[in-house]
Amino acid sequence: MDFSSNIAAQLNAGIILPEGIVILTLMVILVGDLIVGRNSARWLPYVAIAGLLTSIVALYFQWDTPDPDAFLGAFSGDNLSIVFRGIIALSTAVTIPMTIRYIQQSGTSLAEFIGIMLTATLGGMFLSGANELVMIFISLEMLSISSYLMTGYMKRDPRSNEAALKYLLIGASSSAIFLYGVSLLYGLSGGETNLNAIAATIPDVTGGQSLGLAIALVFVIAGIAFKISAVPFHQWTPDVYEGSPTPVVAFLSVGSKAAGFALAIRMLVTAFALVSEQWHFIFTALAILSMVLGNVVALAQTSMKRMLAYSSIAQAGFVMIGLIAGTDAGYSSMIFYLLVYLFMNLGAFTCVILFALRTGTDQISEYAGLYHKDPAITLCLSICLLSLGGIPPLAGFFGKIYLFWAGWQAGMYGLVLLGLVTSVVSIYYYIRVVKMMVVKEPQEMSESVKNYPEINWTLPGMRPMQVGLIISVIATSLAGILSNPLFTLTTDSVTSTPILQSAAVVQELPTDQMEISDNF
Amino acid sequence: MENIQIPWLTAMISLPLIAALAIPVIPDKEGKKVRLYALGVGIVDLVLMVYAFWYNYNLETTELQLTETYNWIPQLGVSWSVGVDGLSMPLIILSGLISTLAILASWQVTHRPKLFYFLVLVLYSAQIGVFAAQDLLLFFLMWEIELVPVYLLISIWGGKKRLYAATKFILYTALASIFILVAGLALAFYGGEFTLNLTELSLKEYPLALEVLAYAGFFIAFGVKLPVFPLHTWLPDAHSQASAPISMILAGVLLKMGGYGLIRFNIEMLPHGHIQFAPLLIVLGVVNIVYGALAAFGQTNLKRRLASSSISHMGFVLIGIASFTDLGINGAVLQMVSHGLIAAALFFLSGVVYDRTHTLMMDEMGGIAQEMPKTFAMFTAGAMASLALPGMSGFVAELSIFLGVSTSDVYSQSFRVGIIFLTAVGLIITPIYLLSMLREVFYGQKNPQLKLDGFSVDAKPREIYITAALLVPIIALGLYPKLVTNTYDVKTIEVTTKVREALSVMAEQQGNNLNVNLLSSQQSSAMIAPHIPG
Amino acid sequence: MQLQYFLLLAAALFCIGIYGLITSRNAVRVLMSIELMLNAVNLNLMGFSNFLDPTGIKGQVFTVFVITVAAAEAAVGLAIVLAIYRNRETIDMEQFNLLKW
Repeated sequence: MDFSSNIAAQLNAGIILPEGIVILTLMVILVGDLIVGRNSARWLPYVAIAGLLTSIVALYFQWDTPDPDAFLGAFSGDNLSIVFRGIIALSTAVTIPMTIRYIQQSGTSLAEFIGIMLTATLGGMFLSGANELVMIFISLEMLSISSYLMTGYMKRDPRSNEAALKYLLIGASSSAIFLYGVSLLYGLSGGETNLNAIAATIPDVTGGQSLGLAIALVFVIAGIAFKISAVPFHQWTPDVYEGSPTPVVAFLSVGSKAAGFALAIRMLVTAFALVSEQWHFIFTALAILSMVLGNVVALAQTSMKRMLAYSSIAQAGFVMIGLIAGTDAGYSSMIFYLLVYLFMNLGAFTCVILFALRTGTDQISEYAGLYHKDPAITLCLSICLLSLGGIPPLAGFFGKIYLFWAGWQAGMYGLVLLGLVTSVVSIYYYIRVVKMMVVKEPQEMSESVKNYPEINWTLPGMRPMQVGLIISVIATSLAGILSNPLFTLTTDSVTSTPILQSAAVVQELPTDQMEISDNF
Repeated sequence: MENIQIPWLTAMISLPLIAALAIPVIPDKEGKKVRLYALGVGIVDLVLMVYAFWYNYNLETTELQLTETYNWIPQLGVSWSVGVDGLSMPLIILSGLISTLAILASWQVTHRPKLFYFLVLVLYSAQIGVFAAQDLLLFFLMWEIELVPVYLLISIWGGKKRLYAATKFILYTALASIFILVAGLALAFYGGEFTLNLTELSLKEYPLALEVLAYAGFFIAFGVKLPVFPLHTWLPDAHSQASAPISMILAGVLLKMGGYGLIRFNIEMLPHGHIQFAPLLIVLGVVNIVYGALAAFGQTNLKRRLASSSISHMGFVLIGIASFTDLGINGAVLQMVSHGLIAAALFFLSGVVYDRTHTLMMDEMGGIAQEMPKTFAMFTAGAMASLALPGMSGFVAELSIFLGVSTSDVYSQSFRVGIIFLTAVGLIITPIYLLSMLREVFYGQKNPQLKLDGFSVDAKPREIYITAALLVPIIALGLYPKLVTNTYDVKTIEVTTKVREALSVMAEQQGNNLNVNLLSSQQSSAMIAPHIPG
Repeated sequence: MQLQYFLLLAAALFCIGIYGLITSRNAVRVLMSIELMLNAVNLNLMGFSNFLDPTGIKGQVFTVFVITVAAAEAAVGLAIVLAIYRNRETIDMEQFNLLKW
């Protein structure tokens, strides 16, 4: 007993208490499903939501913990990771309500799905705090493999199969590439796997910059860019979004993406601080490509899910502005944007699911005249889409303003200008959907809207979806206007995280150079 | 002086918005209660404005008044900072008046009334917000809020090509508004101290290159709204496709945001940039006047003709702004107010005509004066005001702009003569197209194909009341312009003084300034003159 | 023996994996190519671990993890391939065109 408590103290295992709660919830769900059987579907999702919310509460109490390093430095519970873990847990907590009805209507087992989703969440949460190469790899794969499973969850649906296979093959190869970069990093640092140790030893071993480090960087970025679906590593996104069950898409576009950004910040800022000029350059290119291609291709989409896929690519491009800025404001604007993106994107996906459940289609043209039949969903979807487009006074506007503000402060004038122009382009395709729903007259209604079933919120699984939707929409409309606490939270998390603070000092020189190279 | 600060402006801005949020719960299918409700909100807000400005506004000072500042997002430096001065006060009242009248004018909107009045009230708030905002990001936010309501208002209740017009409108305006943000951030970040407060921004000193770039950015943004010649193409579509009440707001208030922005940002904040750009502004103003008049001449659609005439009239604002005289800037503000009233009246009356004839093509109309004498009389009055008949507000405004630019010592003699000449050409075309419009619509033989709505052909009391509410101020301003010039005289003088100071400083610093050319030529002729007799 | 040889072998293996990834039409062959790439990583890690970190042998531990995860990934991959074969009766990548690229 003495020994075990000693070990626990040494490992500082309390740091992963939030993850522990999620693991416990996962166990309860799996075992409960085994014992009770199918009937458990009535209460299991709420257990999962309760577990995730408890985990968020636990995260709250770990804010500003004096000794954030756990498991001999393999996991860091600093405030940055707390925010990201919170975002991921919250995104799952909001996603689960929309899965209940969807999975039940498709006739598959709900408990298994929620189990896989919680595993993915766990992977994402561990990834946000992972500070060691093995840990990063394991949590990344935990997230990825569960995502593949979720994508192929509709195993009778060939589209879901196909999406899963594409996602798996592209994902596995990109993680192999990532891993190759990681193995080089391990060698270049003279056999270190801890990120901080790598950061400390690399300058001595390589004697400044080296070709090897640059190669490792490129490989690692390929892996990260896949996760955040940045162009040109985005090809899987539209297919997977179109083919897989919509709740999975919602999770992939928010939770998985947030985890990718957490990994990007932690790994690039510490391990690759030496080549920060290079990775800034690569990410500038990725951001430009993502914003341009994502927004322009989204214009041509006819399927709502594909459009949201391209829009999520574009949104990742906007978020990268904050990463490239590399300042306190830059990082906190990223986090802020991810937070508001969570609500607006999940709100939009909830509406898409509701529409698909009632009509069985995702085509944008089928939304024509929805206002006359279902004003509530029209309003919610309009708010979420306009917020994604950055229309004030919704939350997305403030998120974008903060990103551009931070980018401008860091002197990236060209990138900010491009971001602004492409966000105007994005207004066009978002408002196209709004136009479809609101402007069309009753006689112009689409077939599916004409046959729109009576709105019935009392069906099993509909209430939680309604609650989730209302929460998302309220957050989307008010998070911007009452954004002060959120701003405080994100700024605090950045300023109190040691790796970002030391990095900000190191990066002062490169960002100055960025200013020059970026003035195109 | 009372100690208790009543947040007048915040109340003005938020009242319509909060009231709009209650609209969905009003139990009403036909829209009769909703319209009364919206009208009530509009009137209350207008009364609030008049009351607040009547009792709390000091005409003697150029300081911002009724200011309120609350910290909003300190991390971004954004604050809820509002205030009025002589420049914004008349425009706020103008937008209150026109929006309220527009609500009254949309009495026969029976199609989705709740959504309609909701959007109009949101627009109401945004307009006042734009004119009252004293924080750059708040200004930008208000500027953007107005986009979606206008888009929906055009695309649901508009004419046949409404979707095209609405999309064009939102893309032009959204794309242009980027430049507000970019130029604003550039100015805000310049120098050591970051600030978004408009007054503080105008006190900063900027290098000339930055001023010129920022000026160009703001000019594009506000030029689209005003509109300035090459950026105007959205306007005829949007104004002609929108329904009459929305056209009233578009032409009456939204265009003025552009002019207001030009004065507030381009002149006040960037006087040195303004000196560089002023000749261009004048030239573009003349192009606007002549082009707008010619384009109006070629239109067969009644509302398109009126829309083109708006372009023409806003050209005067540009010239007045660039005249470097307080008379000119004064005239520019007066022209904005006066055009707001006149355009609103004309667009409203064209809506009245359209309700009877169900067409806007002038060649399909004709001779309807016999059946609609009252409408005819009002339309004639509006057209007279628009062609700047003496005794109407348009005359005073355009005259003072003319006087301003012709007495301006900044430009050379020949430049001024050319400007005046070309503008005069535009002025001559204006009566031609306006009178021919009257002729085609009202005079002559009645078009046999034209079917007027039988039950109530001539203007109803409500319509007469709306027109009167616009015509009375037009005539009052024409006879006694001090009514409104009084409110901003001190402010325009201050603005002019500031620009002129910058001008003289620059004249001392650089030899190639336009002013210097003029001065030196005068000096040299003065030097030569004494020698001749000797 | 020198470290370079291990690294070169790993790089060659990795390139073969990439080549197979790009050119294979059969989904199982693609999975095998990915395994090749992961094995290249394992070689790298083993080499580095032996030469640079003989006491900590973190690289060898890493390798064990990579092998385990690769097995899991292959299992999931084969399961999906099986599911798709049941529905479509083919595992030819060219035939999967329900979702346009």
